[in-house]
Amino acid sequence: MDQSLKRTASHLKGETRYIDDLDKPNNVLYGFIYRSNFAYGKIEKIDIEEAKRVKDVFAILSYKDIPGKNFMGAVFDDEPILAEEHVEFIGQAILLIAAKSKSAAFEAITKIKVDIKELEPVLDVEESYTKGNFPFDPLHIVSGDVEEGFAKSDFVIEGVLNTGCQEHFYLETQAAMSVPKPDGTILVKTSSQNPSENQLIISHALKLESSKIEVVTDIIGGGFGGKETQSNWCAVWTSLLANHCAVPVIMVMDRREDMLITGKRHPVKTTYKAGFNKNGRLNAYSAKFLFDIGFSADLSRSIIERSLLHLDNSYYIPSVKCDLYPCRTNKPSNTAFRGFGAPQSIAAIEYVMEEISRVTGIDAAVVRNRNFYGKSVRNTAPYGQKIKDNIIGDLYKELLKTSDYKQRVKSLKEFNKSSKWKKRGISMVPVKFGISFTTSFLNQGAALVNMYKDGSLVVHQGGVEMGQGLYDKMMNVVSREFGITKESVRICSTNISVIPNTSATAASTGSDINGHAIKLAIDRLKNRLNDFISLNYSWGKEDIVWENSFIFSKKNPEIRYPISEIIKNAYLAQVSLSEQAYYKTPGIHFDRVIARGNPFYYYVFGLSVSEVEVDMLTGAHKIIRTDILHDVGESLDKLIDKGQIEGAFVQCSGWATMEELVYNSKGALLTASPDSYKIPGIADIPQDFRVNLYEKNPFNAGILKSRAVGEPPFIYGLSVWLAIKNALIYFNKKSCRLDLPATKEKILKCAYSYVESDKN
Amino acid sequence: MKFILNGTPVEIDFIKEKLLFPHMTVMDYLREHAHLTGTKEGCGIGDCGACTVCLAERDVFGNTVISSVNGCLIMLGMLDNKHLITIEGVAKNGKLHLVQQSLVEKRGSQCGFCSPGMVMSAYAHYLNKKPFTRSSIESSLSGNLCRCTGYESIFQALIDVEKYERIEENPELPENSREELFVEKNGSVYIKPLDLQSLLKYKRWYPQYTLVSGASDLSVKYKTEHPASVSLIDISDIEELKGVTINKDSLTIGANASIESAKEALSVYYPQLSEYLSTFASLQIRNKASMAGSVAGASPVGDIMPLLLALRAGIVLTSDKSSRSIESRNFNTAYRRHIMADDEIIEKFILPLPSERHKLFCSKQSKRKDMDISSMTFCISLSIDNGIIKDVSTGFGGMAAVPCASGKIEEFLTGRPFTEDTFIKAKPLVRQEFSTISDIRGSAEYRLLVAENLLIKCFNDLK
Repeated sequence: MDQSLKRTASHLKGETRYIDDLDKPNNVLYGFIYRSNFAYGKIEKIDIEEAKRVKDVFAILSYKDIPGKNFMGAVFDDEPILAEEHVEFIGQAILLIAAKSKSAAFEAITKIKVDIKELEPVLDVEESYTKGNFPFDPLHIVSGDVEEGFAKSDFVIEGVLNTGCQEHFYLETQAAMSVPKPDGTILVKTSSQNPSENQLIISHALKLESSKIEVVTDIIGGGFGGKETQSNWCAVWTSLLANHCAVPVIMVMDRREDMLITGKRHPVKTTYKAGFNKNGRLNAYSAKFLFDIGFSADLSRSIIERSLLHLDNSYYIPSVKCDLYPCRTNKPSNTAFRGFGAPQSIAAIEYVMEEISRVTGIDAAVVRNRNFYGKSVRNTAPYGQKIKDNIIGDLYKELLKTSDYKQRVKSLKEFNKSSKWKKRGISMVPVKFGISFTTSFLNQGAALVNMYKDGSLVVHQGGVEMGQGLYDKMMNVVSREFGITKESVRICSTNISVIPNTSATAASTGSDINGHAIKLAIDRLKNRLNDFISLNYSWGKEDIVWENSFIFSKKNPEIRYPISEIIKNAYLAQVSLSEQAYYKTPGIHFDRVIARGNPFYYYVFGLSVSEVEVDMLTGAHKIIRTDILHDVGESLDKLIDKGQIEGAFVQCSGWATMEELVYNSKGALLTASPDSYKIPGIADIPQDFRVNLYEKNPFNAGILKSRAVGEPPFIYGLSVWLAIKNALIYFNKKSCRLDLPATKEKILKCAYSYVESDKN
Repeated sequence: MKFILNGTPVEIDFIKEKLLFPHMTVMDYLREHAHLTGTKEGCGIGDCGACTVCLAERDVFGNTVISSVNGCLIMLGMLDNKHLITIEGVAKNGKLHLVQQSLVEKRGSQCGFCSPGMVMSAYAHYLNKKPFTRSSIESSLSGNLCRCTGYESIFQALIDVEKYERIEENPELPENSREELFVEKNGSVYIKPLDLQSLLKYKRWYPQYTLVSGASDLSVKYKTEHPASVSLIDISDIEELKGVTINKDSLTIGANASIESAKEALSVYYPQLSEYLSTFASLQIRNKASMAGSVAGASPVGDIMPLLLALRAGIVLTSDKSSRSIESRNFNTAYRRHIMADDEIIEKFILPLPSERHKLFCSKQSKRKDMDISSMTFCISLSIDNGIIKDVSTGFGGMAAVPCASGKIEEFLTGRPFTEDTFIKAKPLVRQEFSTISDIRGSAEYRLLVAENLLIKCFNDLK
C-alpha cells in the first residue's frame, strides 16, 4: 500500500488523528469561551472573581490580557479576538477560560457575571441596506447599455429572489492545540485551510514574530471554506491561553457552539430585471444583490467579487448592470463556502433562464443553449475577459444525448397529465467556473522536494488536505514526473515553518498552484541529477528515462539501475538532493474599481440535468435521476474527481432544498444544531446518479492537463431546485417565486400561493 | 460491571475508578478513558452517527443480537454483560474487513471523520447478514451523515461487498452473571434493576428518579445542561419489558421493546408501518429507543403517540401495588404532562390487530426523510363497509399542545362514502379543530395546509 491508500484505510480503521484525537500532554488545559447572549449590546461590567476561584480553573482572560493587537481580519482588521466595549452578535466571545477539566470550565462559565446593556440590533439585510451599513464600498459592473437592451426586448421580467444561508457542517468541528516551547516559540496544531493566516493572527495577538510560530496542519475533517478565516478563532484563542498559562491548551468547539458562532454562506436578496426576445435570447440583465455579510468584513469583498464575476454563468449577456452591496448585520460574519459567492449569483441567472422558458414557452434547455457563450463570437464576459477554450456547446450536445433529455421531457409531460397530485419536473444547469483567486497575488505556491540516499522522496507543499484528495493528487504528480513508485513518495503535513507564506487551500486552486510548484522543483532536481548521470554513465542527457524507480537510457533499455543506486552515487559525488521551487499563476489581473480584467487563468465547464418528482400534497420531493458531465481534463485521479463532483452536487442540493437557518427577532440562531438544521442524508441523493467525466478538453490549463474540481460542480445542485420549480408549473400555472432553499413548506407555499408567517 | 470491549474482558469498579460514572456516555468513556479515539464526536447528540459503535447482547430468548448504536447517547452502565465493538475492533490482525476494504477501493471516504461511524453501521449490517442492496444500505446508514462524498461512492463500495462470500463472526458474550447495578457516587445515583419487581420497588422508593433506557433524549439534555449530578434508574435490561407477544386479536409490545423490534412486529400486520416507523429517527436510535420513551416524554410531536391514538391502543400502567389499562387517548393531560402517578411506569402497549376491512394511513412530515423531528404527523385508521367509512380514529402530532385525535373529523367521516369528495369536504374541519403554532419546523399555516392535504393523500393512498 502506498501512502494515499494507507491514509484512506486509516480513516476507515479509526486511526486518523484529528485535533481532538491527539495524545494530549499531561499538563494540557482545555480552552473555552464565554459568549454574548445579545446580538448587539454594550458591555457594562464583567465580574470573574467567583469564577476564578473554581477549582482547576487556571485562567480567565479578557481583551485586556492580549499582549498584542486585539483586532484581526482577512482583509480589514475589524474583528475583535475578544469583544471590547460592544458585543456585535450572539455567540461572540467575551472571555477565554482555561481549565484542567471540561466540567471545571462549565462551572466557571456559570459563575461569570457579565452585564450587557441591550441595544437594537440590525438583523435584516434590507434595513442594513437602507441605513447604508457597508463596511467597504459596494461593487458595480456595467457593460453595454441595459436600458437600450430592455427597450428592444420582446419581454422584460422583474422579480425578487432570496437565496439562503448555509452552514458548512464539516464533520470535525473547529479545533486547535497550542503548545508553548521553552525557547519562546509556540507550536500550533490547527484544523485549518489557511495555517499561514492562523500564524499571522497569532503573531499580531501575541506580539511574536511569525518565525517563532510553527503552525502545522495534518488532515482536517472537512473544510468547504469554513476553515479558512473561521479557523483563526481556535488557533488564536488557544495560543493566547497557552502563552498566558505557559502550558499546552486545546480547544475543540462543541457542535452547537461551532454552528452558533462561525460564519456561513452569505444569504443574498436579489432583485433582478431581464429583457429577452421571443426566441429566448437575453438582451439585458440588471440586478441588485444585497449580501448579508454579518458583523464584520471577513472575506466578504472577495466573495462578492466572485459573485460579480459569475453573474453571467455560462451565458453571453449583451448588456449588464449590476450592483452588489455588502450589508452589515448583527450576526456571525458570513464567510467562504465552496463556490465563494458564485452560487448565489448563478442561482439568480439560472432562475431567470427558467423564467424565460416559462414566458416564451421554449424548453429551458434550449433557452440555455441559445444563450451560451460562443466560441469565436459572443464570447466576452461582462468584465472583459475573453471566454477562450469554450467547450460548453460540446458538453451540451453530449449530455442531451446521454441523458436522453428530449424523450424524458416528453414522458414527463405525459406523466404530469395523468397524475393529479404528483408532478415531475426537469432542469438542466450548466457551469462555467473561473479558476484562480480573484485577489491575484494569492495565486502563488511553493514546494520543497527532498530526496534521500535510498532514492525515496519527501515532499513539502503549502496545500492542506481536507478530504479533497490533494495529497493523493500531489503524489500522482510526484510519482509521474519523477518516475518513482508511489510507495517511495511521502507527502508531508502542511508546515508553515517549512513552506512559508502559503495561500489558503481554497478557490479550487490547491492542486494547480502546489502541483506546479512541485513539478518545477522536480524538474530542477531531475535536471541536476541527469547532468550527473549523463556525465558518469555516459548516456545522452536526453536519453535518460526514470520509470518505476528505475533509471535507464532509451538507447539501451535492458540495462536498468535502481534509483537508489544512482542517487547514492550522486550523493557521494556531492550533488544536492534537495530542491525548492516557487510558482505563480501567469497573466491574471483584475481591477475591482472598474470591474475589468482577466481574473481567471482558465474556466472549468460542465452541465447537469436533474429530474424530480414532487408530491404536491406534502411538498416532498425525490430526485429520480441526475446526469452530470464535467470537464476534468486529464484527471489526476478519476475516483477523487468523481467524489468531488458527487459530494459538491449533494452539498448544493442540501442548500437548495432543505438546509434552513432560522434566526429569531433577537438575532439568535434557533437552528444551531443538527437536530433542527438538516443536511442531506443517504436517502436524499438521486435514486439514479450518473456522473461522467469529460476528459476530451483539448486545452491545456491545470497541472498536467488536469483541471480544478473543488467548487465548479457545486453549481449542479441548483438543477434540483429548478426542477422542482419546473414541476410546480405543472401544478400551479400562475407564476410563483420559489426561494432557495425550496423546503417542503416553500414548495407548498408556491403550489397554493399562501403567505408564510414568521417562525420566531 | 463487566463487559467485553473488542474481545477483551473489562471490569469496572466504580468505587475505585474515580473518573468513571455509569451515566457517562460510551463515547466519552472510549475517547477519554479507554484511549480509543476512533469513535468520533461529530455532534454529541445522536444526529450525525460519527460515534456509531456495535453492541452484541443476548435477547429475551438467549440469542446473540447485534445492533449499531450511538456511542454519544448510550451510557457506560448499559454495557454491563454485553460486548462492545468499536472501530478499533473491526480490522482483525491488521487486515481490513471487507466493508473497509471496499470503501478504500471505491474511495467511500474523503475527510474521513464520518468514516468510522459509517463502517460501524455497515459492519453491524454485515454481521446481521442483511443484503447489501441500495435500499437496505440506505436504511442501515440512515443515521450516518457525510458532508464530503455525497454518499454515492459509499453505496457503490457497499454494494460491492455483496460480491464476496461472507465470513461469519460471532462476537462472544460474557457469561451470564447478571447483577443489579447500584452506584452512588459524587451525588449521582445510577440504579440498574434487572426485573420488573425491583424496578417497581425502586420507583416507589425514588419516584423522582428518571427512568432511562435508550437515553436518546436524556444524553442530549445532559450534553447541553452539564448537570452536576443525576439520579437515574436504568431500565434497559429488564427482559419483562422487552417482549412482543401476539394474542388472538391484539399485539402486546413491551414498554421497552426497541422501536426497531416493534416496527418489525407491527409491519407483519400493518405493512405500511414499515415505512412509517423507518422514519423514526435513525436505525442506531431505533435499536435502543423504546415506545415508552417516546410516549412518556409527552411531547406534542413524536411519532408513536399519533399512531397509538389512531389505533386506539391501550397503555398498561403498573406500580408495585396495581396495574391498570388506559386508552391512549387519555394518556396526555396537558402540554408535556401525562396521567401517570409517581409510582407508575408504562409496562406495555396493547395494539389491536387489523380486521380484513381495516385500513391504516400514517404520514410524518419533516424537512428530511430520516433522522428528523416531525413538523406534524397524521395517522388515521378506518374500515370500509360496502363503500361506507366506519370505525374512524385519528391521531395528530404537532398540531396542538399534545398529540390528539380529532373528534370532528372522525364524526364527519363516519357513515360517509369512501370517495375523494368526502375527504375534500372534511378539509375545513382541520382549521375548526386546530389552531397550531409557528416554530422552526414550520409555520402554523403550513401545518394546517399539510393536515388538510393529508386527508386527500390518505384517500389516494388507501383507495
